[in-house]
Amino acid sequence: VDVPPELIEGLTLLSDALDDPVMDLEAILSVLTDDLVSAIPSYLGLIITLHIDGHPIIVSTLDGASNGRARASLMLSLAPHGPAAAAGSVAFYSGAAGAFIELADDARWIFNLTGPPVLDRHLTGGRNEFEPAGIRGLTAHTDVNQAIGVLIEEGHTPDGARNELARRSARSGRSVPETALQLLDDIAPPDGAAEV
Amino acid sequence: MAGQDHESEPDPHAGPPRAADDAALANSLAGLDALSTGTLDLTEMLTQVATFAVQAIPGADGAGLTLLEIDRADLIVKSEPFVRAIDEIQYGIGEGPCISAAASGETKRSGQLGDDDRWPQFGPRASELGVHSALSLPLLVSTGVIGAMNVYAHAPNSFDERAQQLGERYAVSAALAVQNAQILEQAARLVGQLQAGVHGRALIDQAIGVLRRRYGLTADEALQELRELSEKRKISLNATATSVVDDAVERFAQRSRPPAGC
Repeated sequence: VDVPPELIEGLTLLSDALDDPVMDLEAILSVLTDDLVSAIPSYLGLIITLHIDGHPIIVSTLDGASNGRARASLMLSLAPHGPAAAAGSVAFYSGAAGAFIELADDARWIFNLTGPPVLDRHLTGGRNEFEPAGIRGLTAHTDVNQAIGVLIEEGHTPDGARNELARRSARSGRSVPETALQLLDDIAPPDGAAEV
Repeated sequence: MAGQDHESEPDPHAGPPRAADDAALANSLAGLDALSTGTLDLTEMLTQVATFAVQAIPGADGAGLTLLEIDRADLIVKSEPFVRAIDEIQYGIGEGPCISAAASGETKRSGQLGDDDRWPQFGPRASELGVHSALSLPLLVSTGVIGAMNVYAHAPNSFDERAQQLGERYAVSAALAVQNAQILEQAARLVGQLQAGVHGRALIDQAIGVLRRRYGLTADEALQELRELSEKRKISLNATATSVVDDAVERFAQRSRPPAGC
């Protein structure tokens, strides 16, 4: 089980955004993957879900090759971390039934777990098929924040810009990311653009 | 020769009877199964594992755990303050029973550290601190050694064959608990750093939006400008983005303020 190439670019992008120059998200994921394969030979992959400003960002190492193969899952909900103040969860998948029972049992000591470990719930309701590996939701997140930057430059405070975007979204009947993308497409050429 | 494995003579006064040993081991293994819920970080959890080791192994006065971590400095915890001093000597000079146990994947036992010719530098220094016995147990999982558990005693010849057997039995369960703890801690760390990365990315994207609006740049051009500013100012990309956004907010706030004296 390797880190899928589709994921590496997104992880590099997010690593660059960290204040710590030695922090490497791909390296952390690689070590975690190695440890999981060592402990659980039937390990297939993981899906991390972050909820940022009401929008999910999903990091998945699983793809269609794992469709129909998952026989066990373990989901851990983790408390918000640092200034992001966003809730997150991680779900592990395995091809062997019962593979996560011991890990779930040991998970109860984790200091920032916000609920009990959940075993196998992700296998119900047709959730045994996976979208391509990668990071989903990041493009919409990028559009929304660039649009907020545009509105800040037009005189809004950061909170005011967020509210203005929500107001335009409600008025147009489009989603916030769609509204943000439209706003970015409509950026007027500046008058006498100066040097940065 | 002093200090060979299995060489120490059992001290008839050193340990409790066999049934009591088994009960102590059972209690410690039960302790591993009953670690506090939702309150520990990895270091605290490992410290509990070391503390239970002292209870499980007759003759032990203190214990420490060393984890070999691929992407970080080795993590070392201890049940008693004196263990840190001993382990610092060991890791400072790169010689000692724990290092030998981790390297070989085999238990190392000594009852006369001061005279043990396997560790000619470490042994005398540990002995000077009043620690004469050591039992170092590798933490083994299916793929190899993930660390070692170091159990120490002040008295000479504190660990006999029976203590070693109990220690090895405890180490099997401890290794699995430690491996799971590493997985869980690494998963929490990944989620946390992803959250921080997404938050940092939001700041960078806001700064890109500011520069796009101000100078009519594409997103790629704006990001390049941010990178060049970051290098020029010798601050992180994240800090550069924060300053660009703050400057934009402040610029407008200044324009909105009435002139001084009005």
